[in-house]
Amino acid sequence: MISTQKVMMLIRRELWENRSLWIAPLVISGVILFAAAFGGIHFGQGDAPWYGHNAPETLNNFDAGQDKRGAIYGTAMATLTAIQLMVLGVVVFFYLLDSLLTERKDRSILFWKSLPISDTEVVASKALTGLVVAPLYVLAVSAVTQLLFGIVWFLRMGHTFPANLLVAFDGATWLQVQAACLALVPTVVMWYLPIAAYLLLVSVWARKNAFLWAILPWLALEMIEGLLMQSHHIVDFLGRRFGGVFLVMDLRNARTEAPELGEFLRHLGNVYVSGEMWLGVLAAAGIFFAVVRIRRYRDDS
Amino acid sequence: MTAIIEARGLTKRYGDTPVLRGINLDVQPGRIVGLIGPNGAGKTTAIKAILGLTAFDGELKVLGRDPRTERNELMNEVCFIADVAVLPRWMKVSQALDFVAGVHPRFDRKRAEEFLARTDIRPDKRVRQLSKGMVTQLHLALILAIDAKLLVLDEPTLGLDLLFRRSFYDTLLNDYFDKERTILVTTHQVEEIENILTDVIFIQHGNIALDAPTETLGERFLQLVPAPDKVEAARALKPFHQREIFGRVAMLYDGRSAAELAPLGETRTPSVADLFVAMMQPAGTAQKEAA
Repeated sequence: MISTQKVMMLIRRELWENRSLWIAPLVISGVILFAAAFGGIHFGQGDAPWYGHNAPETLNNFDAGQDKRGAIYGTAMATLTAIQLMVLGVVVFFYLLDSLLTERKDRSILFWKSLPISDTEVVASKALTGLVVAPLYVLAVSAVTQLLFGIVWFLRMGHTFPANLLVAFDGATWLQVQAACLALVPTVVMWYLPIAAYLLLVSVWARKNAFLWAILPWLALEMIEGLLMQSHHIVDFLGRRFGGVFLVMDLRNARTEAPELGEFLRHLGNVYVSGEMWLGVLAAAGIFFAVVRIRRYRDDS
Repeated sequence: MTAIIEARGLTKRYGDTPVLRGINLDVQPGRIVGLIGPNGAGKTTAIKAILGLTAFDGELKVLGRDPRTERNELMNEVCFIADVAVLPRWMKVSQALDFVAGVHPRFDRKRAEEFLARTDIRPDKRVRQLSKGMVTQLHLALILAIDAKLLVLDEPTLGLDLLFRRSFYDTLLNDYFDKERTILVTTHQVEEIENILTDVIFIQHGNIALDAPTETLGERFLQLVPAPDKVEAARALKPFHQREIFGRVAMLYDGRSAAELAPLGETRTPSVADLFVAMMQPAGTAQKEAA
């Protein structure tokens, strides 16, 4: 019943309307590259920032060791992607929260509904844009940024930089970082599905102030719980939903050695065997269904 | 031929307030039907029901389909313009064409482009940069290029100046309408469209007050301005509405023949606007008579 061609068109339409989805990652990349080109580098406590000439004493004396270079490069590159993904989380949060509200606020829903597009296709296109297209795009931008970072780093530091600390490019490690991110992002998205579905639900239901509607009920519940029962199950529940995926992965125990792709993937696997994630996916499916029904039948526009 | 719209006992309530009180409708193919009523009469609700945008009780078939359960299939063959301000303001003209081409199997992009070429609308403009009249032209261009069986227009020219309103309906007649197609239009500006309507439906307080082909209105309704000495005789024939114009009384009759009325004064066929005003204000008339 869902037409792929229509959903693709709807996703294009989402990117036309929500330009922040594809501009924000480019801006962040720009900032990262700018910082790489002109920023000062603190190395060791008490040293003045270092700008690429006359490496400070501590730096020259530092030896990361042969086998750690790849690990340091990998961590640095993964950090660049992590920054992008954190910002993406915020952008997608607000994107989903607004996606089904703005069309009612500006009444354009009457235009969308005058065309042969089903509510399932519309809601699916919004979820796919926020949860699949935007993350994949960010990963691609981030991968390219890392390569540009290497070029900037090389041009700036040239031969003055101690190559035993941070190499400009390490092909094998770079590939491993990309592979790890490609595996990580879908896993995290699966874990966050119920949150995404909840945001869509608030979006399709609220008349305005979607942000407040998304936040206030939980705050109120938490306060009532705190007052009546002196407990904090609601905060615990929310904390688990937002941060739990990383606890389930149990990555801290992987840090003992240099990160290695196979081990990372095994840790990701923890998420897929946790009932918690699948319960969330089930809840999300139910909420998505409700969102489609509400968009289909509400008529206050 | 089967009816394009067929309603039996179409009912809609908002809480305790009935908006549609069990209306019956039959709209045949190749007609231009005006759905006319005062604010709050139920026009827009009826249209929303027809388009599957609201829940309702009773029976309703549009192109043989139930809008409640078969909306997705229905919208392949039905177009509508809700009013002028619903095109998304961020959209570029070219994007609007891309989008409709991407989702509508019956959209002929070339036709829409040809129509736009006759206007001042450039493809790289955003909707928010266009005047209200141009937005309507754009919407019309999109609709004209869709091969649909039923076009529903809800106050399509609200807030437009006379030139745009006139050209809107001219375009609709010349470039869109044919015997295969049906247009259902609601508007306040009855005078402007009464010449193009083939049928009129008056709706008041959620009921159908009149449902007739325009060409039969002349046979059924007559307006009489009686000679001063014939006023009492004219009243005796029970006009359903009367009003004073320049010291003389214009009376409207339902079902009286011209032979009956002509001896009493000047007769003529009332306009749709005259009929509308008369039928929507029976209470006001009664007051006037009492005073």
